[in-house]
Amino acid sequence: MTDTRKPSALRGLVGSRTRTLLAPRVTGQVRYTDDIHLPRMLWGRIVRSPHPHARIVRIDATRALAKPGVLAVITGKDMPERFGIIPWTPDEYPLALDHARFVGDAVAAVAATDERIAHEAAELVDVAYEVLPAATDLQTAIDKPEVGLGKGGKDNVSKEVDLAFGDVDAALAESEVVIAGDYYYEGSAHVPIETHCAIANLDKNGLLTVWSTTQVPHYLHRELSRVLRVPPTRIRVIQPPVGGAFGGKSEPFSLEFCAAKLAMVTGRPVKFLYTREEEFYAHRGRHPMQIHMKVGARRDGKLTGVDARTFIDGGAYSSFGLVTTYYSGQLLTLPAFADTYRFRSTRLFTNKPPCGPKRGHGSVQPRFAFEVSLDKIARALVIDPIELRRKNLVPPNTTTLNGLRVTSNGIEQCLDAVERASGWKDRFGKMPKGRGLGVATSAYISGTNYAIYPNAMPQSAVQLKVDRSGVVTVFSGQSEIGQGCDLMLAVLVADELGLDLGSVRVISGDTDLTPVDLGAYSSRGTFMNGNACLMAAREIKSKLVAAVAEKLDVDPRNVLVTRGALVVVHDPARGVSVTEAIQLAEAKFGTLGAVGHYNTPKLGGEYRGGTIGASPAYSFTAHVAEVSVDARSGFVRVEKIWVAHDCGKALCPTIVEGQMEGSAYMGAAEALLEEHVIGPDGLHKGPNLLDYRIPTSLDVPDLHALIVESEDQEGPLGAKESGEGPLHPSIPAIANAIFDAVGVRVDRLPFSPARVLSALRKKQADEQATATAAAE
Amino acid sequence: MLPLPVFDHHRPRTLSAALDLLARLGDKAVVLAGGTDVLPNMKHGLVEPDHVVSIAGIDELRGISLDREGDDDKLVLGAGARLAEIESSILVRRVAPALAEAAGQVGGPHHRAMGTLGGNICLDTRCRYYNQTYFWRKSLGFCLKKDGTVCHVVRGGSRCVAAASNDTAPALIALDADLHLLGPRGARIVAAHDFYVADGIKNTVLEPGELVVRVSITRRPGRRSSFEKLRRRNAIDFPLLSIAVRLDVSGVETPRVDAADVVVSALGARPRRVRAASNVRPGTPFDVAARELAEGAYAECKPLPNVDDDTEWRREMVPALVERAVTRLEG
Amino acid sequence: MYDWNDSVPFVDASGHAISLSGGPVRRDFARRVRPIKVVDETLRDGLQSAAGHQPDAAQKIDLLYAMAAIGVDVVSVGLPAAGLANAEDCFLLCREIVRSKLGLVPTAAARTVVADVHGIARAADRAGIPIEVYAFIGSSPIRLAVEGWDTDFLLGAITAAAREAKAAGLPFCLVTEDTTRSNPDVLRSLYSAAIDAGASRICLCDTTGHVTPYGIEALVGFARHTLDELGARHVELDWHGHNDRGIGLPNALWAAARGVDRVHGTGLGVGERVGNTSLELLVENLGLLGARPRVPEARLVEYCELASRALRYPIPAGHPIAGANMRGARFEVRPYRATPEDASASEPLEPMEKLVPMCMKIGGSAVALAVPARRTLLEALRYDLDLVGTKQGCDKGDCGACTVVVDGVATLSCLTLALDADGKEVRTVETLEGAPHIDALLDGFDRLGGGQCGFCTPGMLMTATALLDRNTRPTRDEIKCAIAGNLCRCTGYGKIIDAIELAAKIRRGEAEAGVGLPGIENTPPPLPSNKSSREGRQG
Repeated sequence: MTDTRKPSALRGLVGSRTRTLLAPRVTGQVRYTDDIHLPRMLWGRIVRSPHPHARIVRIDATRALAKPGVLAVITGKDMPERFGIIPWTPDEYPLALDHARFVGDAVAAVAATDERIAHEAAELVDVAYEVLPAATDLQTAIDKPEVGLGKGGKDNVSKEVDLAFGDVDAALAESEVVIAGDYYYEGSAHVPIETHCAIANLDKNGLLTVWSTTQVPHYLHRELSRVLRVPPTRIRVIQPPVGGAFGGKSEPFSLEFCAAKLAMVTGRPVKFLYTREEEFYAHRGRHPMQIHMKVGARRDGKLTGVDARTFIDGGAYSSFGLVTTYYSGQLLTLPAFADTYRFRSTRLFTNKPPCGPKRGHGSVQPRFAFEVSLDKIARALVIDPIELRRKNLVPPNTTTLNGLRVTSNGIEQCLDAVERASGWKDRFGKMPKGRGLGVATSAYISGTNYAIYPNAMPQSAVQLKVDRSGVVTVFSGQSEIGQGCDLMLAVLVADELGLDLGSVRVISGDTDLTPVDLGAYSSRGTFMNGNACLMAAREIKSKLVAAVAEKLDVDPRNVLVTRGALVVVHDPARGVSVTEAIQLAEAKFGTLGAVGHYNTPKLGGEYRGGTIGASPAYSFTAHVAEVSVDARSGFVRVEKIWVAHDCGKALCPTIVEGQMEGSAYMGAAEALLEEHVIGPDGLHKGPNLLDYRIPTSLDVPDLHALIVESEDQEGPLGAKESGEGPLHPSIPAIANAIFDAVGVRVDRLPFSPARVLSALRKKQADEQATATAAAE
Repeated sequence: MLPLPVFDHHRPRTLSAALDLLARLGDKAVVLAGGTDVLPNMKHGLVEPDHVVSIAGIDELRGISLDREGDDDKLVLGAGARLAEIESSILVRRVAPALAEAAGQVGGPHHRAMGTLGGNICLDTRCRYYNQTYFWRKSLGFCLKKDGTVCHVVRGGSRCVAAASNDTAPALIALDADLHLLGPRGARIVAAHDFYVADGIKNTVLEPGELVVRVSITRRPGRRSSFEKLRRRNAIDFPLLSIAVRLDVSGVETPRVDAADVVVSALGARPRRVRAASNVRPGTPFDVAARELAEGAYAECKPLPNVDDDTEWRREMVPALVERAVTRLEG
Repeated sequence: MYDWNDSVPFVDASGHAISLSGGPVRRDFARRVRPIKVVDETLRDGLQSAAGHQPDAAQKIDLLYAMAAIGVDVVSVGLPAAGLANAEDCFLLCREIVRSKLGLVPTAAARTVVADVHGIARAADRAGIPIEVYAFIGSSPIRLAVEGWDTDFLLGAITAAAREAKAAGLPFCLVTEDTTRSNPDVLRSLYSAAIDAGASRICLCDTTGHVTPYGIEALVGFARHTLDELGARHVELDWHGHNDRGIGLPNALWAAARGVDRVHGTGLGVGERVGNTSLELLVENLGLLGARPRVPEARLVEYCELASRALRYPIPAGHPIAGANMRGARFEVRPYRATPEDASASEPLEPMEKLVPMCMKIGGSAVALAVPARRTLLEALRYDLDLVGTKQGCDKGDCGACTVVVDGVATLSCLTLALDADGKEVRTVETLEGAPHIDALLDGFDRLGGGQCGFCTPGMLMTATALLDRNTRPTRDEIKCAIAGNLCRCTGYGKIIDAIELAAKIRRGEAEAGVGLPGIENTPPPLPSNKSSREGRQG
């Protein structure tokens, strides 16, 4: 908790509720990508395939080029280079070369002097297709290998993972109770309020600058260079502030390549702005998963074995699919687990917009199946669901079944916190008809040991420039997508060097100005970027202390950094202002500057895929959800969600609470409202914000964020992630609360009123049947 | 962004100027009031006018008042009245509560601040195969309401079954409201019930160049009304089902229902007046009326997969909403 | 270089000018009152062309664009009476002209029979554009004898057809086939009947390729003289000649020089027994003679190629514009590469859309701009005024990110035409005061984490501004209802509602403002001279 006892001068910014300094960003003074207009800028528009699966026979651009205002048209032939975020599965082209693989797949691109003309010109590009048989749902992809979307066209398999730890069959055999269930987790989209946007400009020296709403400027920089066949030294990628991403902007997309190519062809800046519909075609959202899971337990509640068979609907391309398939099982072994475990997951290609990483990336779906199974076991063994979890917790400082090294682990405090806050003990099972409580837990990675392309260089780096005026500028490769990493760095530097936020600047996401950071994904921001920043800040601090110690003729160990001044420990009156300390250090050591970096230690099990899920630290979360279910209509209303999250140390409590509430809210939305559904004809059911519904302010539960701090040994000042972890338990907690409220299990997402009502009707019918049977 | 087509913009100051303009421009012109229905449809290529006539600024169309006509009190609402004004108007809440409740549940707060009563009355019918972008509709092969010849809701159907999705329509019908129209052929009054026709492509009797100018609702003593809307979210969404109930009640201590009218909408192109409501016997107790009307409505209403595909559930919700609307009126 | 085209008439020994036209040809063009229009008949059905191939609708539309690209003025869209498919194609072509604003005047052929004219009227209604009726009838003695017609029959047919066109509000042109071998008296009676019945155009035809420039000189003179006599100076003349004697093109140029208003041609000269005047050469030559703006070479090549593909008629190797022999001379045109920008230099340089001036009051200061009618307020703010604080999330009213305050009302700027905000006060996030006197809402959002990615925040701020302007003490539920149209994906709305509550308190003076603003303690005092301006500023 914040050390409020200390006098304000000594109290650090870390742990206090500082301002987020967002006023310039929300009043148009700081420009998001679409806010940038360059002189003589052209508008681009992508020509998309209307067929779910087709061979591209011929593209004729004559009519488009005949239209006044149209300057250029490019097709797949202009960039015939495969790319993909995972180096082992590059299966995408900027513009489809010979096959379109889903309705909305990019086939050509036009550039015109005006947005309307670009839209009309796209309709004038005549593409001749030869329609091919398509697999537009998971079951068809399984049943019809002849559609041949996989490698070599012999089947539709994208990735297969089959891992086992211990003898599961034996464990299940001697279990008192084995709960087997089929769960279907529906796909969902990121729906950031800002859609994808990219601008490219070739300056008169031939330097290509690309502005983009990306989460991974470094990977985009590499892929642009490879696909455009332009040396990386002649490309600069700038990532302005991003209007929400949630994983949907963590790989290169067609619009970035098309903007760059058209800028090079026409010699004029080109802007591509996806419409909301195109955002659903770019997708990379939550993978739909069909999970059959068996969980065994002994009479006393000790979990014996878990066996899962999962089919994953991957969509048209691989994207992060290889990693997702591992995540569909690897992270289940925390926080509470059994002694043996086997999971077999198969990711299949389908003619649908490609799925990828959405907040929680692949471990949200199995978590739902597992935490609901635990609830079923608790009911079967008549054990309190929270107690069942307490009986199986993995302790701190240990290694899990599948080789994940666990350091700090605050799951017990999390369970205590939500139990107390929700009044679980005297309300669970005792609520009036139609109201119920449900609990669920989860754990998540704080960054991953697995760098996307194998290299020995640091995964994150920060550079500090210290100016004699007292301004310290932090240059960080990290991507600010709304998760608050810029402010986190400012607070860390301010506390280390005794500054206030007004004299710290943070420049991030510019491959010319900032050192390499791999990007905003797998919740690595705080842990890796924070550590890199601390390393650099401490190097500067030691120089300031040395210079002041020399001036005041004291031992450096007795110099204390406070807000605004460096003072002598037991004689605070004697001291030097920070600005003067900087000038003294600059005089003594020469111009001040420092570079900090971070690399994870060697982690993960010694087996193929062992490094996926291996993280330097794990966050832990427990949720209790309270719901009311209207039996007449099937409407489920989530009244409250208590979220207890072990984030190691809350560097900026306001932001951590924001991430916890935002995650729980996004999870509740997937549980109740969202479904990213593609029809049998390959057409998205409703690619707009009216048909694809996300909650409004009138559809959201009261969210209570309870911060738990387990002070991680390796985290920056003990901090761990809080961006993705808190999402996982939302869905199972709501499912379990529904059962507690009306006694029905809805094992398929979303829990729409129609689905809940039909489950209630079925339950009433079964009860009648058993009643009449008993009566005879 | 979604660019609008090229057109000429006209902003007549007075009603007569607007009508002359519309008469001259004929079916090449489109009327723009709040813009919350026409502009999205233009951005989807569903409406491609050469002229847009903006009438939001014409003050003659504003205003909500209670006029005495003979021995009847008539609530008169200008077609230009904003839905937010209707929602918060004391007069409307007293005389036509169903209309106030309906206006209060249209879209989100911004839609209600911009949208007008006339605009909502003339709302284009909706269907999930129609209200999509040009690219989407072209990939689908279009539908018979726009650019195509096939219906994707009723296989092989030749008639458009897009749903009337305006919340004020069922309320106005249940309240026996009169719509005052003005056009090239002069003024005429059409009962709300007769204003709508069962044609998904154009579900009103409005002629080219004709405008809805005013709505009048006669105040009846003992008349109560309520409105229920079924949607997945509590804002922004169009109705999956909307139900207006009007009861003529007598008796003070134990109120009895003497007459009823139940109108169910968002099923097909024309809001449906439930026949069972007309044979409610005077003096029926509330709970009996509630059950009768609910069962009658359930029997007559069979939703189509035009706005959603949970048709079974939407049908289940008809009696639930009718019952809730009726019991709320017991007061 | 001595250009004989421009030469002064050659004077013989006796001072008598020997010149066919009595002066340099170029001068004739310069003297013209009305500019020469070019009519493309390639798509008229039933061309009895040797190829006889009927292009499909898409290819016809391709040709339409190519015609527009080379500056064709009038286009025949077919013969609707020839069949259902022809009528449908005719409608599709007209709709394409309307929808893409191609600026082509459509005409359709018809026999001088009421039913044919009625067919054209129906097509015109469906397409929503008037189609000129070109009604043809045989007028030479041979034809009359063969058909067994007499003049009265001709007069009756022409009058009936012309009246029908007039009734349908369509311009009517009388096309007298084989004019160059018709009797002047017959012609005079046909013309007067047609004009009386409302004809506005006469087409002089050399359907048998019989005439020479000398004949044209006489015929055009006779036609002009007859129209003057009939007091029908407004009636225009067309020329339609064939290539039987290989002089179709010079004849057409000559007719243009001698004052006809429109000259006809077909792509690659396709049609009739031995071909029509070739349109591309007609356009090229009229350009060279200064009678029409020059058309870039590449566009003419494209026209020929498209015509050749549509009509399945190979381009002769020696074709002066698109022939294979000529192609070597020019750069290799890649199908999808852009033609250089200046290629369209010859197009008339006026804005593609009409701009309408308007004025708005934004944060206390008047702003004037000119916008196309289709411009939404959101586009005007972001593109024209560079006020990029207002964001676009869906552009059709589903998300609220574009909310601004118009005359005190929170409004979706993506569903408001810019011209409908003319003369109104528009408040955007740019008008909110910054530090040190930071706006209460900005202050609240900043201190309580009301914004994470910040993209929905502008919409939230303006919605809340309108709310707090009318309700100084909103309950949490009232705040929830007010922002129910503003979608946020990051926060879960909780901290946004807290922030708005705090802002309400700050505006009521019940909470301290600007707490923790960096450097607020040492804000410079306002300059004494414009201190009053400090208070006067509405922000």
